[in-house]
Amino acid sequence: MSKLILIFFIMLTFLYAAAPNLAWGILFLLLYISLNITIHLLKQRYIVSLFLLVSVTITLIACVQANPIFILLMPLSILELCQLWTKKTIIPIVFAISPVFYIQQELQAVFLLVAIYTITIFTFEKYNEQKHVKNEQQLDWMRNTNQKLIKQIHENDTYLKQSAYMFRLEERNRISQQIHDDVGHAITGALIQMEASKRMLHVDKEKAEELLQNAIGITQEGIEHIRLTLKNMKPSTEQVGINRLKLIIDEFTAKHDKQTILTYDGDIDQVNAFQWEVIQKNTTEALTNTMKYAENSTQIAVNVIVLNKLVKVEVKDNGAGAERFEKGLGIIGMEERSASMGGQVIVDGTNGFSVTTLLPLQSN
Amino acid sequence: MNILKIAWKEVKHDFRDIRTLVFMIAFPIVLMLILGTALTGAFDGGDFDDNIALDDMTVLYENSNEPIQQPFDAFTKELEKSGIHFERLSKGTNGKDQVEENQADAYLSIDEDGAKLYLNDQNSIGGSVIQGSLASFVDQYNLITEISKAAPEKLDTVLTASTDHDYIKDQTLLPDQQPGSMDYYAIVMTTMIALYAAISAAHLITQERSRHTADRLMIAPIKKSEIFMGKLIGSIAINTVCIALVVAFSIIFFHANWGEHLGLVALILLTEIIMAISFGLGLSFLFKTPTAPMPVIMIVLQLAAFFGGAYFPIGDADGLLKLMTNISPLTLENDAMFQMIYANDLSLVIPAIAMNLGISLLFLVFSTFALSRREGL
Amino acid sequence: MNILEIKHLTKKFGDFIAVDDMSLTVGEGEIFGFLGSNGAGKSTTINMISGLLRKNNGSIKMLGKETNKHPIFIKKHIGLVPQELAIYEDLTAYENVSFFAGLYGLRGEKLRSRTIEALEFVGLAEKHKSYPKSFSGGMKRRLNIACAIAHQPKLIIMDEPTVGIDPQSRKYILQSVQKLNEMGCTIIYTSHYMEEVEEICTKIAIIDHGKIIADGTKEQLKSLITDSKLIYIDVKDTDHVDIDAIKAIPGVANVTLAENTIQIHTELGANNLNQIISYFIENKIEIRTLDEKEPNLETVFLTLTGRTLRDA
Ligand SMILES: Nc1ncnc2c1ncn2[C@@H]1O[C@H](COP(=O)(O)OP(=O)(O)O)[C@@H](O)[C@H]1O
Ligand SMILES: [Mg+2]
Repeated sequence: MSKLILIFFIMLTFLYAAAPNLAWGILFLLLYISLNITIHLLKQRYIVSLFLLVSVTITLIACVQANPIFILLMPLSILELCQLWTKKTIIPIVFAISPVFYIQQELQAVFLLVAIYTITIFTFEKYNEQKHVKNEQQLDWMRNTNQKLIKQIHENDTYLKQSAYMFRLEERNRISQQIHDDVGHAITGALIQMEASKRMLHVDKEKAEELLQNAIGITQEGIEHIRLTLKNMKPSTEQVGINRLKLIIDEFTAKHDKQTILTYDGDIDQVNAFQWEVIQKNTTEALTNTMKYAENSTQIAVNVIVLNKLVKVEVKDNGAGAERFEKGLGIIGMEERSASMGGQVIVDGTNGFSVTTLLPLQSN
Repeated sequence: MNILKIAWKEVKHDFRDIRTLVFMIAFPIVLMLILGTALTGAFDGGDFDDNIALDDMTVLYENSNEPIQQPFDAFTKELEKSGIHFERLSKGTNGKDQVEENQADAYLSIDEDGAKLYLNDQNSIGGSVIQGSLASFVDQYNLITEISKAAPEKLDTVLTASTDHDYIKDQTLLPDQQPGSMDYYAIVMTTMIALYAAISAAHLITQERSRHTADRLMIAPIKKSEIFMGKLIGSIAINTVCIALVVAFSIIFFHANWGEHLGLVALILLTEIIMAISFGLGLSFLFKTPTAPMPVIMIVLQLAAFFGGAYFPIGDADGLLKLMTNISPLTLENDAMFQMIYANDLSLVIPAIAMNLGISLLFLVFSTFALSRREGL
Repeated sequence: MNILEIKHLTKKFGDFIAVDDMSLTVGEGEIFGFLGSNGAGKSTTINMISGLLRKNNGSIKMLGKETNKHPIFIKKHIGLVPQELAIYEDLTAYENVSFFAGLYGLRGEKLRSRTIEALEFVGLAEKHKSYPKSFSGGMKRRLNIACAIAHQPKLIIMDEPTVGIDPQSRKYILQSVQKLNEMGCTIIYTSHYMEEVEEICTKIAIIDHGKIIADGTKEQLKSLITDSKLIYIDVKDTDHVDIDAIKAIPGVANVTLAENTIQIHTELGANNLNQIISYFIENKIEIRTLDEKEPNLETVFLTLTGRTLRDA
C-alpha cells in the first residue's frame, strides 16, 4: 500500500518535473513494481531477501541513471529486508534513515519525511499484523472451547437422565428380588400348607391341625426371615466397605467402556464406616468426572492404601488430563467431605487426571 | 529521606550506564556539529556566516505621526545597513494585503496611538528581528518623549546620541552573533534531546520489574509514592545534568548563542525534561509489556522532533504540515527560545512552561493512578 | 510463641487457584520448610506473607498482628530472599546491600557496619567493591541473601535460595541458614530439594496444588506413611541364625529369611542397629553386606501425592 503511494508520488514528481530520463524512469518503475509484486508471492526467506536486494540495487541504479527521487523507495525496501533478519526495530530504522547523508540537499527534507512516514506505516502494519494473528488464534481457541462445552452440557444432560432411570430400575429390581427371595417363598409355602389343611379339615382334623401348625410355623419363619434380612442389611461395616466399593466399580465397568481396576493394600479394617462413606462418595464422584471430562481415557485405576496414619484413595485415569482446571462443584464437594474427616483432596491433572483423597486414621 | 536515597540510586544507575549517557550527551553534540555545518545551505541558502534576517527583508511602512518621522528615519537608516529595507507604502495599496501576498516581509503602521507591525511569518527569525528592533526603537522613542517633557534641555544630547544608536546591537544581534545554523541547531538539538528523557523514563519502573528488584522495593517499609517520587526526582536530576552539559558544550565549543535570559532558558528546559519524563513514565504504565512503549515513544519523539524543526527549520507551512508543526510540543518550545534569545520577547515563555507542566501533570496523574491500582510496582 | 499464623489463605489467578485454603503456624525460632514441586504455590504463599501479593481470602498474622493492617510494622521485621535474583548489576555489592538496608531506616555508621556485617556473613566482604556482573551464580545468590538480612529481621523468608548453584555455595548457604537460626532468626525455607529441607528444617509443610498435604517434623511426616524401616543383612550362611532371638531385640517387629538375606522390620526410632549387629558378631555369623531402607521425605511425598518432587 505505502509502496503504491510512494510510486505514485514519484511518478507525479517525475512527470511534473518533465525529467529528461523519462523513459528510463518508467522502465525502472515498472521493473520495481513487477519485482515487488513477485516478492509477495514468494515464501522462502533467502529468496525474498534476494529479490529485495535486487530491488534495492535497481533503486540505486535508477537513482543514478534516471532520477535521484528514486531514493525515496529505499527506506521501505531496507525495512522489509531488515525485518526478515532481525526482530529489533531500531537497527532497520537507523539503516532506513542513513541514506540521508549521501543524497542531495534538496531531497533531504523530502527523504526524511518519506522515511519517517514509511517507518511509521511499516511499524504499525507489523504491530497490527501480530495483533491480528494473536486475535485469530484466540478466536480459534474460544471456538473450540465453546464447542467442547456445548458438547459437555449435552452429555451431562443425557447422563443425568440415564442415571436417574438406572437408579429407579435398580431399586425396583432390588426390592422385587428381596420380596421374591425371602417373603415370596415363605408365603407360597404357607399357602400350600393352608390349602391342604382346608381340604383335610373335614377328613382328618388332626392332620389339618398339623398342617395349619406347619403353615403358622412357615409364616413365623418368614416373618423372622424378613426381620433377619432387615437386620442383615446392616452387616459388619468393614466388610461392606471395600465390597461396596467393588460393587460401585463393577457397576461402573459394566455401564461404561472403561477398564476400571480396584487395588488395595494395607490393613483395610482400620478404616471406619464414616471414612468408607467419604471414600465411596468421592470415588463415585471421581468416576463420574472421568466420564464427563476424560472422554479419551481407556483405563481407570482405583487404589486404596492404608498407611501408618492415614488412608489414601487414588482414582486415576489415563486421559489427556488438564494443566489447569476450574474447581467445579464436584471437586469442592469431595474437598468438603474429606475436610469433615480432617482429610485432604489432591487433584492433579499433569499426568492423566488423578483425584487423591487422604484421610487420617482415627484409632492411632 | 527514602525519596532521596532512591533518587540517588537512580542517578548512580544512569551515570554507570555509559551507553545512555553517551547517547544523551554525545548524540546531540554530534548532530549539532553535523547538521550545523552540513545543513547550512538548507538553512539559509548562503554562506556560513551569512545572517538570515538581513538579506532580503522589505518592510512597508506608513506614518501619520509627524514628530516621530525624524527619529524613525534615523532608525530605518540604521537598519538599512543591516539589510532591512524600509519602503513607504504607496498610496492606494493595502499594507496587510501586500504582506499576505508575500510582496513584503512586514508592514508597519505608525500613528498617534503607537505602532502596529504585521509580519508575514510570525515564527521566522527575520520576523523576530524586525519585531525586536522595533520594540527597541519604541522604547528609545518613549524615552525621548519622556525626557522632552521633563528636561527639554537634555533632549538634544539624547537625540544626537540616538542617531548613532545601533538598534540591532541592543538586541545583541551583532552580525557575528546572529543565529547561524550552529546557533539554531544548538537550541533545537537541546530541546530535542530533552524530550529523549522519555526513553529512560519509560524504563524507570519496568526495569525494576525485569530485574526483580521491584519486589525488594515493595517489601521494604516504604510507600509506593516514595519510590515513585524518588525515581522521578532522580531521573529529572540526571537528565538536567545531561542537558546542562550539552548546553555548556555548545556554548564553549560551538559558541552557540543562548541569549541573556539563561535562567528562563533553564526553566523551559527543566519543565520540558519533566514533561518528557512524565510522558515516558505514563506510557510505561499504559502498556502491559515493557517493550511496547518504546516504538510509540520513538515515533512520537521522531515526529515531534521532525515537525518541531529539530532537523531543519520548518518555515512557512500550511495544511497538514502546519497542523503537525503546531501539534509538536517542540515548536512552541523552540519558538519560545528563539523569541527570547533573539527578540528579547518573553511572551512565549509562559505558554511554553505552562504546556510543559500541563502535559506533565496529565501523565503524572495517570501514572500515580495506575501505580496505586496495581499489585506490586 | 507463634511468629506467623496463617488461616484459610487463598489466592486465585483468574479461575486458577494457586493457594487453596491454606492454614499453618510457624513458631518462633523454627526453620520452617516449604517443600513442594514447581508450581505448588510456595512462592505465591510467600509473596502474600511478605505483602507482595494481595490475598483473595483468609488471614495472615505476624507477631500477633494482621499483616494488611500494619504493613509497615510487619515489613520491618521481614527479610525476603526472592526466588529470582533481585540485585542491581550496576551497583557494587556494598552499594546493593547498603541501599536496601537504608530503606529500613538505617543510616550513618550503623548502616555501614550492618552492611559490612551482612557481607561478611555471606562471605563477600572482600568483594564489596566489585560489581555483581563479575560474580558467579553462587556469589550472586549470596549477595541476594545479604540484601535481605542487613536490617536484622525477625523472620527471614528464603524462596529457593539454592536454585542453580554449585555444591559448595549450596553448602555455604545451608550453613548460613543454620547460623542465622542460631542467632535467633525464624526462617521459612522454600525448596523443591528434599535433601536440603530434610537436612536443616525443624518443621516441614508439604505443599501440593496450593494445599498443605501434611506438616510436622520430619519424623512425624515419615510416620504418616510407615512406622518401620527395613534392614537387609546378607550373611554367608543362615544355618545358625535364630529368628526368634533377633525378634527379641527391642523395636524389631518382624524377621523373614530369604536365601542368604535376612530382612528385619524394625521401628523407625528404635535405634537398635547396634544391637542387631552385635547379635551377629556374638554368634560369629559373618555379615557380607548390610542395607538399610528408611523412608525419606521424597518417599513421603511420593506416597502421598503419587508424584516425585521433580515432576513439573
Ligand atoms: N501472576 C500469576 N498469574 C497466573 N498464574 C500464576 C501467577 N503466579 C503464579 N501463578 C501460578 O500459580 C502456581 C503457583 O506458582 P508458585 O507459587 O510460583 O509455585 P512455586 O513457587 O511453588 O514453584 C503456578 O501454577 C503458577 O503458574
Ligand atoms: Mg517458587
